[in-house]
Amino acid sequence: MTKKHWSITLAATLASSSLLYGNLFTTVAAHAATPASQGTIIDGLFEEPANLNPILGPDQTFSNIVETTMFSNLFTVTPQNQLLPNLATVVPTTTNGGISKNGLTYTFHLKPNAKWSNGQPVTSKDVWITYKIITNPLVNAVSTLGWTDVASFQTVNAKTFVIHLKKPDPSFIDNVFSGNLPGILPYSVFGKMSPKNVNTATFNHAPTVSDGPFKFVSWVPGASITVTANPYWYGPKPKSKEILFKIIPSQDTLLTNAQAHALNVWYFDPIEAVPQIQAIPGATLHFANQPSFEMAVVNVKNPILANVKVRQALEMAINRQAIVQDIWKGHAKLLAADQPAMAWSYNPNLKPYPYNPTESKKLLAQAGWKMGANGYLQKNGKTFTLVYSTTAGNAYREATERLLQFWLKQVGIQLVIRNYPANEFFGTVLPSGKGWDLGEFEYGDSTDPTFGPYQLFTSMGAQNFGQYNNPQVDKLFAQQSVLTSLAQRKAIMNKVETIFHQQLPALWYYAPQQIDTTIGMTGYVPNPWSVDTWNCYDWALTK
Amino acid sequence: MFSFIIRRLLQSIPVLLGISLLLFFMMHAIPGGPLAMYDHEPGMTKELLAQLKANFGLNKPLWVQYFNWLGGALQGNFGYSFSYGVPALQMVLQRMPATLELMLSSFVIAVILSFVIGVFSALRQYSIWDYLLTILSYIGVAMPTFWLGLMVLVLFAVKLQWFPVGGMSTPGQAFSLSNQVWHAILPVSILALYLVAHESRYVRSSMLEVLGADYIRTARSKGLFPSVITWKHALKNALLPVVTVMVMDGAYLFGGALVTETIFSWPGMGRLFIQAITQDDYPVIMVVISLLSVIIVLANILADVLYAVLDPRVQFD
Amino acid sequence: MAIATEPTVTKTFSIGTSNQQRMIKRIFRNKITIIATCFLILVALSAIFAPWIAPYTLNTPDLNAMLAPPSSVHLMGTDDVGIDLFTEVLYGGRISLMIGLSSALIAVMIGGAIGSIAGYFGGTVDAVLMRLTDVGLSVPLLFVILGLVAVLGPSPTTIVEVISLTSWMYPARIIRSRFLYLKSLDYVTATKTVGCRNGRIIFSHIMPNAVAPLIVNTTLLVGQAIVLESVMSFLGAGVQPPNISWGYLLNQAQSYLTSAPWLAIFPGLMIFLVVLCINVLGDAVRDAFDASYTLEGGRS
Repeated sequence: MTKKHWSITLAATLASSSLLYGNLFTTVAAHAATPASQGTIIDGLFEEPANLNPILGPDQTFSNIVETTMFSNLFTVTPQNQLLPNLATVVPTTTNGGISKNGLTYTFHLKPNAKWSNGQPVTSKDVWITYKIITNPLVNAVSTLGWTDVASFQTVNAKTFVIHLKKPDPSFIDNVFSGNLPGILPYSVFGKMSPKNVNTATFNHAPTVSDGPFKFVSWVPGASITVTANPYWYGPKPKSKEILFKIIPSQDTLLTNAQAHALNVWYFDPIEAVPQIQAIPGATLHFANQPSFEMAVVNVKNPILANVKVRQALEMAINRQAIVQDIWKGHAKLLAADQPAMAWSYNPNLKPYPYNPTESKKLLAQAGWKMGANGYLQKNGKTFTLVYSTTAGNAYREATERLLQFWLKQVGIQLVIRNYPANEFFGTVLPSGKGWDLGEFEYGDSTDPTFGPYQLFTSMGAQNFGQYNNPQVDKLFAQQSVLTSLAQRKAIMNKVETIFHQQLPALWYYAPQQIDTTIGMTGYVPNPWSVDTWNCYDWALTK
Repeated sequence: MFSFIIRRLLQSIPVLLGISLLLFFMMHAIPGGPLAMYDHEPGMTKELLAQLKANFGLNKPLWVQYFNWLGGALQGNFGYSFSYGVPALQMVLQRMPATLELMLSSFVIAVILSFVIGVFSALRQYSIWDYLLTILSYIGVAMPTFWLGLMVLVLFAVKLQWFPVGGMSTPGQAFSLSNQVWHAILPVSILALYLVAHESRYVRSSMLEVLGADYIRTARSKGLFPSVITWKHALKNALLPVVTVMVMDGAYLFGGALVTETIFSWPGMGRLFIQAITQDDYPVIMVVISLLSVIIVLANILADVLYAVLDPRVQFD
Repeated sequence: MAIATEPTVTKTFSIGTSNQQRMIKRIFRNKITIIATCFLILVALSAIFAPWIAPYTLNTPDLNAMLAPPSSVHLMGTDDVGIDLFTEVLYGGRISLMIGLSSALIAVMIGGAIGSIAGYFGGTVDAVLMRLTDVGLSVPLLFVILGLVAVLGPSPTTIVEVISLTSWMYPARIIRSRFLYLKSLDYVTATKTVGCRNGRIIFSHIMPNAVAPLIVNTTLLVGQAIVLESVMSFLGAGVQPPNISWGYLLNQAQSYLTSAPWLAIFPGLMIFLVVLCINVLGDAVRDAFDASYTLEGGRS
């Protein structure tokens, strides 16, 4: 579930794309006797959220960051990728009877003390109205994934409800009650609202009724959003009184804010800024592995690239180890296939291709390419030229391109660089499958890591930009999708990963770390499976 | 004069319509589109995408969309922002005061300074001062705003800590004029700098030219005091091309505001515009563009009126 | 001394030399002008002969020398992949000078033509052309960049087209305002009654007097065009490696403004110096123009 920052601002900023998918904070066992909430934590936001309605699109990381301070969902994913109950009392499983044997019926119980910020209890009615609104076609919902599998919603009592599915969905809870959605909606606000008014409701910009550790105070358009501790929240008392989200739409200005100690949190720092952040007194850098992968998708519609030997030659002609070491300063991990080590579908037996220009040249020669007089390979009178595209205005990608251009020239391949603003790149260029041969971008896994590669590299996938078509892969994905045993799915995905490693539907690069900075505060724990405000009640200013 | 203004205002109607039509189609021709943000969301299907398209009214033929927009716009209804879900006009109007504050103060400062500098260096043509001011003004032209703005932030906000690192006021604090001014100094200076650099060149050149004209020489030979000559005769005649440039700069200021607002986290409409463009938020783009074109058209009418005021020999036909 | 000397009216007739020679002499009367011209020639030559002068091969990264500050090994330091900046600045001059000069000239020519026709003929012609200028002014730059590049694809030619298409409105309005004023003067009326053709009046009688603000505009445009190209690079619409321009370098420097300031300083300095020198030259040309015109008695 990619969540790109869609901003590419005209001024000096890099749209550092970090792909998270959002959700919640945890129910941590009561922190006994915490002192009164104190102080205001200032968070820098690179992008202003479009709205603060947790179920409304577009899907933006920065909306989720703010929403997560105010809204709770039924479950929370921890940084260790563990599902914990939040508004719910227990995670339903087949063992505890919460999920029926056939995987079609789920029973949920809400915490008796879960309340909205107006003092009313959180009830099954709230979940029901959330379901009704998300699945209404007139609502521009952030994601209907999982919800569309619901056959019926049955309210048992104020705190218990049952959901029947049309077909078994092992990712149902992840997708619906924890994964992509920061929270549920209050029936008191939306119960009587006509669905077509949901997209433009005042609640979206002033969510006065919420059920998280903080509640809404104000939103000054373009400038800041303020939330304050919610006295009705069932969980531990937040350690800080307020969080003030300052909208600072330039990474350079975010850096100067950090240097001037004018903020406490700066999310998704560009790798280029790390040496300067390290020089800030009192700043803590957080490097967190995240379940995402950077790659260059291969457009196999280009007959040159349809040959797997050529793809392997390309992978070996690129010194990916050097990119990781020198551009990323080691804050990224080289990949052998798409999945990073933290995904359960990762295949540890695969080793990344070595940097080996000699072998690369050999493979290219086998594919019939001969060195021409212009210093580039030729075949049938044509020069080996590839068009490389990615998002414009992104420093590490542009640096990568310059290196690639150099390395590929060493083996006789001409690389033409053609970059686009993010909206054009993802909205038009990649999906069209035209005008590019290699398209570099980062993809973020969801808690279900089979979802991404299914979308990207199967003939059924909605984001199969490179038109990769491998019937064997399609079959394996179909097989694993109906299994509920993780061990069985893992065995199948290992096969898929092996094929991806050998076949290279994309040139595998690396899994970059997420970089965040905090200054003068404690309690910040990056959560690669959620957003970093997941435990914002634990944040406290030092001194 | 009065009938001239009326005629010009009437002429502006087809111009504004033309601009809106041209930009509407250009906007839709730029690749990407508002649905790109939804495109690659998990669980997005062709049907859902089609539904979204219908929700946004993007499924109709382009010319129908244009006339729908125009019909609404004429009644003051510019539609809802695709990404924010609030009336686009309201969004823009909310951000406008911030931008106007930035642009107007920079403009006034720039006009005053560029006159002082331009006249001064023209009077002392080829002196050390003239060269120095020339060099300084070209620094203003050649240094990109994004670079200069950031350097100023690093120096005055981080190193010296004299000024805040952006924003329009200290968040969470009650409104106070001194606080606003304190926040405005750096961005206003940066925005004004480019204008000063640019406009003082025109003032200087115009002044030089007029100073070389016969009637000034005559005046001088008659023994009129230099200062009287300079201010009364020369300046008035030097104004004509300068007024043109300054009026146009008023419109161009908006371009500078885009960058300045971004670097100084200024919650204005320039930044909103950039964001709208990167997200293809059509309703917001159209509001900003309509507003800008109205301002530009009016400013140019003003410029033509000013010509006549400054020089009665200019006729309107 | 309140009023400086007026070089524009130095009446030194040099009998026997032709008009052109006199002009050239006047242009280079000033030492500063000579220095500026020499510098421009130097930059142009080093751009042309970059392959022979450059200390390194273009586009050759050295990962052991990333972001190295200026030193005797790398005169202007290196960029984020260890490419020698001096080499890039030398090569960058080729495209930047080409883009800067040609787009400024094209913009001034389009604008000059539209402005002078509008100002001279007035009436409906003026109204139509000036409303066209209003339209031009109202189209945001970002739109033109994104739209044109999407249609034409990025290339140095597209960049010149984009820049000239977004910059002709200034010269148009400036020239028009001059024409409005000048055509009402006695000498123009006189030439009209004598039966001069419109073309001749525009080019020989009004234009020379309208040229001063245009020269300022041209010199400013050269700098603006070079800087604008960096904005286009940021959107992926500018020059892309293996081609290098100063605008590309400035854009690349954005991520390292405080950590590696040399990346912005050197290309910025080159743009600044080139624009400054072009201006000095432009001023000298204008002064010479003024003087020669005064001598020939064309002024009212």
